[in-house]
Amino acid sequence: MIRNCDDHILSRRAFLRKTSSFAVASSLATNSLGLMGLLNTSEALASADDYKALVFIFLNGGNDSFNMVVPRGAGQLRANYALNRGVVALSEGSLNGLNLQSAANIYGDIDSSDFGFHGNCSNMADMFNSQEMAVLCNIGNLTAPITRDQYLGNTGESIILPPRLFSHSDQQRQFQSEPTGTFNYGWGGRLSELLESYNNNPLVSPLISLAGRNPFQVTLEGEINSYTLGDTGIVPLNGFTGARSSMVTNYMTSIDTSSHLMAQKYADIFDSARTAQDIIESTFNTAESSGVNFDEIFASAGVSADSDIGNRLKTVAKMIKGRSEESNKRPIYFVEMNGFDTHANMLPNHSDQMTELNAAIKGFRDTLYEQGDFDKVLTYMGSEFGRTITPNGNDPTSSGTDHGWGGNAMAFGGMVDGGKLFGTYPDLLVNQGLDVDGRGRFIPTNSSSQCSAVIANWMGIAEGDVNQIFPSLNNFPSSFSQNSNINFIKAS
Amino acid sequence: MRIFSGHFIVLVVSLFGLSACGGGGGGASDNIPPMAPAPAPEISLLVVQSQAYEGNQNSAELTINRTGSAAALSISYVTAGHSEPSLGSASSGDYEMLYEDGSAIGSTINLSQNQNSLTIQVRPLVDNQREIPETLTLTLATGSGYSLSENISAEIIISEATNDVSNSRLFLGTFKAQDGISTSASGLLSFILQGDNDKGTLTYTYANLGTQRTDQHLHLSPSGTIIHDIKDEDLQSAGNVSDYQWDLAPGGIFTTKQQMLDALFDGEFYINVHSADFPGGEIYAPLIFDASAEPPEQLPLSTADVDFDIVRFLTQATFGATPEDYSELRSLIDIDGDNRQQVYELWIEQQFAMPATSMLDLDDHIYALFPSYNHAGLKPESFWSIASFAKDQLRQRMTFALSEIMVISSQDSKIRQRARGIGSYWDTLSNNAFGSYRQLIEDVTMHPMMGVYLSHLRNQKANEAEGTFPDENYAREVMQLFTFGLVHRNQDGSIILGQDDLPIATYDNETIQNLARVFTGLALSYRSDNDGTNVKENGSFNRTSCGPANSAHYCWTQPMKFFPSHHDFGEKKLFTDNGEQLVISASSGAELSEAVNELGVVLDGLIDHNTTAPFIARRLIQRFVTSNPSRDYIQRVAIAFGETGDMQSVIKAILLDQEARTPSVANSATFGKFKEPLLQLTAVMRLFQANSRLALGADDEDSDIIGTNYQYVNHFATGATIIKLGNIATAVGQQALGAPSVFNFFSPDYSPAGSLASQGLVAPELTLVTESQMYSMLNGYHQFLNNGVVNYRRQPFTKDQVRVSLDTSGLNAVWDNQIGDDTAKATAVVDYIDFYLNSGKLKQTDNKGTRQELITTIQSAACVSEPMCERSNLAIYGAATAPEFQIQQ
Repeated sequence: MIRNCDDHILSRRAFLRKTSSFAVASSLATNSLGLMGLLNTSEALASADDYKALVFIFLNGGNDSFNMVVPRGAGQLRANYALNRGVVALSEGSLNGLNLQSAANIYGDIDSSDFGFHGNCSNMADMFNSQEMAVLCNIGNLTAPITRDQYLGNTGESIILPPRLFSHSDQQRQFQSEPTGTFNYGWGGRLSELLESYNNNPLVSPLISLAGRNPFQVTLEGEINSYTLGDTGIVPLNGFTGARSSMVTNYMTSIDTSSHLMAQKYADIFDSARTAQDIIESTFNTAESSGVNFDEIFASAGVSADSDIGNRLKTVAKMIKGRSEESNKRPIYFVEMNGFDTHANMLPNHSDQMTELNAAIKGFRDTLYEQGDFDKVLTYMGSEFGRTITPNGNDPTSSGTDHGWGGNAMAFGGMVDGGKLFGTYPDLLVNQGLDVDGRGRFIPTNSSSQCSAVIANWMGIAEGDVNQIFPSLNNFPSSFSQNSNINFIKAS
Repeated sequence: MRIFSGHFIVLVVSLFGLSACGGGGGGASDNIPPMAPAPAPEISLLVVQSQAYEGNQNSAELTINRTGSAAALSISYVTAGHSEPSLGSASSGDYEMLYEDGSAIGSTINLSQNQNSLTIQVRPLVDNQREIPETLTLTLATGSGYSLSENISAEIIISEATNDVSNSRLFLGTFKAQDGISTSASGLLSFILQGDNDKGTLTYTYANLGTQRTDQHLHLSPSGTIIHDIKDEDLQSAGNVSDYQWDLAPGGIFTTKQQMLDALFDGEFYINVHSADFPGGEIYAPLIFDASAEPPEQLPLSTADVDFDIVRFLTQATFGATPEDYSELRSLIDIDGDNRQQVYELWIEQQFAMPATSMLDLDDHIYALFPSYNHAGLKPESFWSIASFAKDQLRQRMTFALSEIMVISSQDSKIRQRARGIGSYWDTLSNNAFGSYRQLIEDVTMHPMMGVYLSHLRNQKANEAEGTFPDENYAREVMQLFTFGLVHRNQDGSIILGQDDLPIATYDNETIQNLARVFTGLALSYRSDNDGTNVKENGSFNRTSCGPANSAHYCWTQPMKFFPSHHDFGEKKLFTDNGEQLVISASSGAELSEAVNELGVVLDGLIDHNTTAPFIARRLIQRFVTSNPSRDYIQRVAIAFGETGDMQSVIKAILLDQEARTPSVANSATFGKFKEPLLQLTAVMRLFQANSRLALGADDEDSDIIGTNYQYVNHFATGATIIKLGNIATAVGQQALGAPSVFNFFSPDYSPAGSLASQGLVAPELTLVTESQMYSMLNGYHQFLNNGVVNYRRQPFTKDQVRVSLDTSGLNAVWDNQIGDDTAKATAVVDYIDFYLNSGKLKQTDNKGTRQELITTIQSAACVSEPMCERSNLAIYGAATAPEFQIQQ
């Protein structure tokens, strides 16, 4: 039996087109097709205008985000910051001031609206002040709300914690899925499955990765596979003509279900690459001949030619710009930036990271505006955990910080209710309050899933259905309630 | 009269029977004949299962039956052993006798009323002794209320294990000269003892005896007493004994088989070969138990099977099989492959004995040849030369495997900037590759490059006043990645579940904080000038450098040392193993030795932790043989690892295990692993003799080879050249010591969505295979084949001198030498490539797809251009990229 990756997808497409409109269901269908239940009637066969892209920028290693979003002023919060950050504290004068549209919510009795971004994040501060960007304070992996007393075991209650806190691999996986012991699916992959009726292109996956294999884009049913692009787009095949091309094509297609499972997977990936190649090449061609000068916009933003994150976001912008009528309407892009695990040399290293990130974000934002896509693309930036408030040395240059828990994430786009600090900013005190162990590792005041649910809703999942993707949300108040303070999407 | 119910029935039956024919007319009561006395029940003993096995806990089974009356009975019995004193007899400690419900049988066997039969189980008790089969004779004895039939005796044999191949034990020996004698004779011996220890199969071969063989016997050491004579008629041919059945019958000073068995396991037996010149014995081989090896399946192997297995072995143990390596092994292995285990083991031992090839030293040699360049950017270029040509292939493979566990990476600029430190780190791994994992982890912990990568270099103890704490990076990763991992495991790698049915974490955050305090106070040991001269002890804890990026980096090639004033000497409560928490008591802080000792105790604890052996065993099996080893395989390797990580035993256990050596795996759709891109590339380079014009050895005046006269050229194969691959490594997606993070290139648990995930199988290496990487890899091979690889950093040499190209003369010779038409020639070429790069799997499984496609393509290709013609280009490109060639089985 010869496999053909396209067969089942095409027949599914045909099947979906034949069915009539579906009612919004109150629970996920659990049968193997599983998709029917959640589709909004009017959006089932979407028009070309109804395009929404999610760009997930994962800051790999544990971004020291309390040095990205920093308290200022004469108040208690700034004093706590200066005291506990010690040699890794950023001076007030170095920060880029933020104009908050509404008061920040801070843990405990503290009132403050005086914050700034890291000194190298001036463009991000501009975006915040133009209400394009929001900050999601002190979020992290959490299975159910807990207190410090509960964490320390003082109450004698048995509590559920995310497994293996403070371990990179586990927290990364959980930030991209759910805080469960066994990994079932990434929330990006699951979201894509549920929105499949918007994604009508059988030849290119709606899940595009510029970071290789990742947990975020793993689907539950395993039928949609993410497609990996290189940093600068698709790599053309050299010398793939004549006898060589037919030899390779023939033996790749000769692999069938009796072959070794790993060989089948290899042949699948080749198939995927060949199938998508033409589409992606034409997408890039469309983008590059659209009049948008990607290189110039990014260069003006200060992005250097060897910036990986810069190149990646430029590629994403082109993929978005070059879309056609047949393109998937709910693509989900996964991009990573490395280098955040600042156990040592935190100040200089984090500083460089912020410079590079800021430029890439500025370049991306400017390009999206130029393309006219700023309202259609939601960009979300987060990391698997924040870092300890306290440093691990007494030298300002060489000291670092260790793995923390709650940290600050960000989101920007035309649909974002920008210029606000959502969630709850910690008081930055240690050995009390939110801190679990004296190092300043803060219990998140909102779970990462609460934020992800807001994104899923914007993409097309009804408010009442988000718990199906994020079961842990059954333990939390709704992200969409009036006083949740985590719904960072503008009411439409 | 008393009527028992049972009797009553009998009586009633009897009465009915009597009344049927008795009585007649009258019927007066005084005519009823007296009751016959009830016949005593007759008891017999039947054997249902005579064989009991300790290992599987299989019990022997007997049945007691009775006929006749149905009263409750207590049946007496006696037990005895074997009548022959030299054979084994079971004692009361070897077994228990149980009723069906599991309760113990006492001094009598009790039948209940109306019970006509009962089952007796003879269950062997597990002990830790090696025993020959032991006989238990059970005989029923006379007693009250019953009579005995003829069948009252049963013989039970209690054996240690069944005679399945998997329960065999292997004894190996190498023939050496007797003391005081000089001879060039040599050979190999194996004895396979079957599971129940009753007998075994002896095989040995030797050659080059100085003079005529006169006799051979099994002797006892050290006395030399002859235990058993091996007669001439038992020999296959001169000097060879094959499949000789030896039943361990007592001889010499021994009177029982048990004594023989004990002496065998104590290594006291040897085969001595006597010759005309040396009547006392010219060569001898002891029988030494090898716990790590499992004998291969006792299936008859065809010559082709053996050939394929040799290539499989080389694929597992080297960077790629070559015709030379194959021939060398093949010449020592019998046609039917019976002795291949011994030959592989001998090869492994030879690899142990070879001197380690130093990456740092070759790096230095190469840097000196290319002085214009900042060698901080060159990364470990010498790796490709080593993989292609170094003789200590197994050591270097192990080093590569270890580098994927205890990761440092040139992707981190701090590592790249200390270029000579990278070579030094690789050498640290390779010098310990055949030592102990305990020593390895110590040397890695103290290596300043690891100190930089995981930031414990200059890690300071906590300062309460300033609110600073020790860096936790190394403490976390040394547990999570380098030793026992996140959860407690059994010896076979399975996860241990707690009371709540959840895995049990091996450490928590507090453990990490405390362990971090152990790794405080370490800093550079030396300082020097930038060119590496003027070396002095370093007295400054805060020293961070011994020269800029292109300098000698002397301090980065030497272990760190403790600065006691920065070390935390307080009490530390660390991780738990086997219910016991490791607690380091506080010390005075006055002495450097206290810190050193503390580290020693902690490293001991990390390595002998029960979970470390299976955790590392699985990782290493995944790097050499298969991604999804069985639980038993992991356990066998974990046993070899032991408490200190005996790396020699471990690598033997991995490569010689039956799971690695079973040829029929070629037919499995799941066994094996996806080849790492780096290993796929080295295999192509080795088979097709990738080379440049820069020889490690001397000039060759007959050709354009330029000699570089490397001082350790003898660590490399003849004709070795310098291989600088530059961006090809980036193209295929993998560079030695170049992983994206401390989590290596892939997770050991990565399971691709689809059929692999649904069967619960992992394929770590498939992490690297994505659409973009695949195209990039295809382009890499395109460049290699069409243009060769020229690293742009080539000055002062010309492009032609540094260009790395493949040599297809061997491939062309296969075509030319094959008789027949183009199809026959193409078939020979494909079979050649398939044999060395793929262990002949395409041919073996009669693969019609890829194999046919390659033949079809090659047979109609031209071969005109030089140095690589189109036909060779297609053949190699096809082999490097075909799906089946990506899988190692």
